[in-house]
Amino acid sequence: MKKPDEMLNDVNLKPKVLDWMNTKPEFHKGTYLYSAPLKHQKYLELPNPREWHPTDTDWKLPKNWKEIILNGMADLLKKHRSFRLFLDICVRCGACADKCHFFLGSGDPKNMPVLRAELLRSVYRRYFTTGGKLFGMLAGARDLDENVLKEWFYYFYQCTECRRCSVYCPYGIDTCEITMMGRELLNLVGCNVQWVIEPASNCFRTGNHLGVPPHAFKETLEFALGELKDITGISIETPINRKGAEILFVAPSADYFASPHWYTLLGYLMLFHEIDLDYTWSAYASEGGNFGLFHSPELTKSLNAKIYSEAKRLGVRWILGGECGHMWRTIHQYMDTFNGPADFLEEPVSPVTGTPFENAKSTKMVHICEFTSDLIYNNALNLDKTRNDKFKITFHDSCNPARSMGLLEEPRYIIKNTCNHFHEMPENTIRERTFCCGSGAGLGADENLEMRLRGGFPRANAVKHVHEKHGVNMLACICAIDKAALPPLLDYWVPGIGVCGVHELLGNALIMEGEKERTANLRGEPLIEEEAVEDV
Amino acid sequence: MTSEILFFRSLFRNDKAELKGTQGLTYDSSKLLWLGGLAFHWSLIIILARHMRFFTEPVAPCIIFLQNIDGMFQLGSPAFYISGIFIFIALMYLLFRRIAFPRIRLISLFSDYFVLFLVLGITISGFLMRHFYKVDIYAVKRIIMGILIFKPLTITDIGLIFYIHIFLVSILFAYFPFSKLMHTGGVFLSPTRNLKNDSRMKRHINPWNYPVKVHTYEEWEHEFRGALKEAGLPVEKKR
Repeated sequence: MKKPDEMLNDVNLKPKVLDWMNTKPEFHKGTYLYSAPLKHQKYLELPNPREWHPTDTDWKLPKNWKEIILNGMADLLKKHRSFRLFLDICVRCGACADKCHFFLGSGDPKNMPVLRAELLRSVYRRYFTTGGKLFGMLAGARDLDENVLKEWFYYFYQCTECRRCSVYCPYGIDTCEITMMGRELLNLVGCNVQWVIEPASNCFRTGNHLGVPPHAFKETLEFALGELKDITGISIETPINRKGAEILFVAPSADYFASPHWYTLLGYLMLFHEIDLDYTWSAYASEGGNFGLFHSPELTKSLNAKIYSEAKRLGVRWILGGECGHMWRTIHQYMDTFNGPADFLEEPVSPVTGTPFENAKSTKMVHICEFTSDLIYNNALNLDKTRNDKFKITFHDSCNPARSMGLLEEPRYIIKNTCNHFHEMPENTIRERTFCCGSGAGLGADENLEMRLRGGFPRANAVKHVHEKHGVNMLACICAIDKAALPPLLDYWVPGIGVCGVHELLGNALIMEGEKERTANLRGEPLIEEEAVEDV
Repeated sequence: MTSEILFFRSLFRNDKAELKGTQGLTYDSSKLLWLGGLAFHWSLIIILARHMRFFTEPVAPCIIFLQNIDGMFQLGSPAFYISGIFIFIALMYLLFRRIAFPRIRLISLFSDYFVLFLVLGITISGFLMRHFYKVDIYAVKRIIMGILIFKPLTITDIGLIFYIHIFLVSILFAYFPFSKLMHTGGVFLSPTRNLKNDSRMKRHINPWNYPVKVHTYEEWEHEFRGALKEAGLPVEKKR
């Protein structure tokens, strides 16, 4: 692995090449994803199942692959008004060029959102517009051939669908949608990646990405309860598949399987116990995340359907969702349209404060940060901020909650009420202008590490700024992929900074009825820093 | 949406990222593109509005008013229009950045330059016509009105520059619907700008929302029934 300085030396934000249409993609080690395993291609019944690898010369495409792609494109153009519009109206003003984290971290001109879209747009012009058919190159059109397809694969899997560029585009062109369409087309000829298809296939079968079967799911939650008993001295219970509960709770599976997500899970469990919430988990719908979103609307819808169907079977009134990024894009943007109407549920109302969540009155699913900030606002929780005193926090807006949902204030409100030290990163790197972690949209694979580190550089760079200025040592976020991707990323660019969920901070600060004196935080670390103890 | 279309809100918040050795990435505000774009489009619309005097009789008072404002610096005769100067400077800047900035140069297509040169040609020919190779504007108006009522007149002694101007304008109009110039209408249609983000509050219907294969609870319970029972989790069916 290259050192940070070497990595940055490769980056030139002023590209020297003058022509992009005829350059061929090179699959450098560390910058591309492996193909989907045959077993999972077959399980999900994907087109053209086969063993293949992106570095192969022959991708074993179907004989009529060009026809498949062009028909697929015609179909997408019919289905999505946005797609045709975004292909037509770009004026190549270049405002988006230096907004993409992958361009800023790699200097590869085809990672400028405008050029990434031109990869598809040039083919659209050639086959679907009069100008392109007549004037070819002069109208910015080019033929579809295997190199173009390989280029699509390389660059549409170098986009995390974070939508930062669309914030700056004067026409609101959403490169995320272009990438989504590009990936749909690639799927039609069987070009899928392992890191998307395997979790999706697991989720289809077992209900979660990691393929955790129901009994292991229960054991994991019980293990968490055991830990909480040690920390708080309180025996907590958590129900699974319980009929007649008021609320179904759905979290990303990483919360009960990965670290530092785990401490966020502890936070949820403590909170639900403390307010005596009438809720249940589901082992069938044990995944909030949805890797189908990085593949096709059909797969997204199929995986997402479990949440409503389980809510109906268990007879709950409404649904509460944990901290996750793309899970919330799916729920906020698509769930109701895909699998609604949720007329068997009721409009969500907080059982503790009586606040109706009007913003979720149709989808009937509430984000846990909305729920918790309402509790805090109504003084329903006892909080001791000093228990988070060893942390100097900054908040990383995760792309999807920030840009797709507009969930900007709620997590900050929780942090400010649970911590004494909070510092914002520079304003053009937060809120709706936040930088992606570089590993979203199915790119988080190990084989793609170099590209992930490059993509995460702008984020890490902003963290470094507050680390040096305010001594920030902990980054809070509300996305499961962030929590997995940011620790190695920050270790690489700015060592010495931890990553936590917002509900971990809440769990630390939450004063529970009947708890023993708390000496350690949820990570089992002493509440007061050792140096401080020595000073006394 | 209004501020987006009238004042290019998104472009206004544009910034410029630079990689500087020790500091890493730095961001500076970058408003020139916004300024150039705004100056160009506003000048264009004012110029188009002023041209209405060639198409209408009597000329609407608001057009005359606009003309007077635009020509308020009475330098020489006929007065220089502010919009004419602005559009020229803006166009030169927009052209300059396409050629001089490596990133923009790479993404620019032939068609991008084509439109720029076309509009530049129209501007220059119009400017020359007004200030240097003067034409008989009464004759011009008679021709235009003649075309508008489908009774074209033949007037020959009107000056070559007028025909150059009208030829370039005709090319622009013909080219318009096939090109990126469609962004004029497109900006109003952009879903990321004209839709409210209320999809959890209101249900939106997708006309092609067809059913997909799902893994039902029954199928799932069937596969894991043994494990569920062993773990003491409730099941719907005993076997």
